Amino acid sequence: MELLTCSLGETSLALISDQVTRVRRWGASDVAVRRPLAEALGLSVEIACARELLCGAPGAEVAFGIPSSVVQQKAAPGSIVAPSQVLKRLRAPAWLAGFFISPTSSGGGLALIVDLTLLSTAAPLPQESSR
Amino acid sequence: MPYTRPVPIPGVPTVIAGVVNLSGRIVAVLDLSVLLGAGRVGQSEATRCVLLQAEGLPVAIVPDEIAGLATVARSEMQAAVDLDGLAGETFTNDGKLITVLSPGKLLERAESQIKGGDDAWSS
Repeated sequence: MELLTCSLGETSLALISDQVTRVRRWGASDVAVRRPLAEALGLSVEIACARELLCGAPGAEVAFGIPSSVVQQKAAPGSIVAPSQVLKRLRAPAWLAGFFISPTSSGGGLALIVDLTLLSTAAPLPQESSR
Repeated sequence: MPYTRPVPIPGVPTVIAGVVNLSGRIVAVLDLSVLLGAGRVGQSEATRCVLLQAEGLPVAIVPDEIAGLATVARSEMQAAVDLDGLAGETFTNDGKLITVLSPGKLLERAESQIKGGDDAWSS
């Protein structure tokens, strides 16, 4: 399985989508919806978007802004772990497809796998910052 | 086990401090300060992560301090103080009253906080 990995602040991410995606220069695509990925995930970090990753059906694509440091990685067998039952019970967001265990990721070698297709249709997060 | 800073997940209720990788098993870490409504204490080299089974599911908590490990005879256990529905039973150790927390009830509390809207959401 091929993953696009990047870091937003201290958070390591691996991006997947079951729909065709394209990577272009930030702002280059003609789309109705364009959002920095950090903002879409509710991360309170300021990341300069160098590129955008297009996700969704043609004509209804969403462009997620990503940093330039995106790397394509092949996931080794056993390196992808699904969200646990506890996380499902405690309402982990639908876009959290699992975890990618990678020696190159920060945060204990753990990257959150983000399903961009589900993220593109997710409701905005409640604005809260208690942590 | 030694403390590993949990990897935070954006958009989850604050009762989930994050997840840790335990030999390839990803375990959710519950934030006791949110569950118990208590204050936070900073982590140090002495901080430990405790892995529990809650209703058959692995979860972890990060106590401020581990005071020790005690073996308690069943006959020494006493009826619990309620502690807002979290406690199972109590026992006395070195003159101190120790409250036994039930991992299952911690998980139930986390769920009910989320369903009841008591829990905030992380960003």
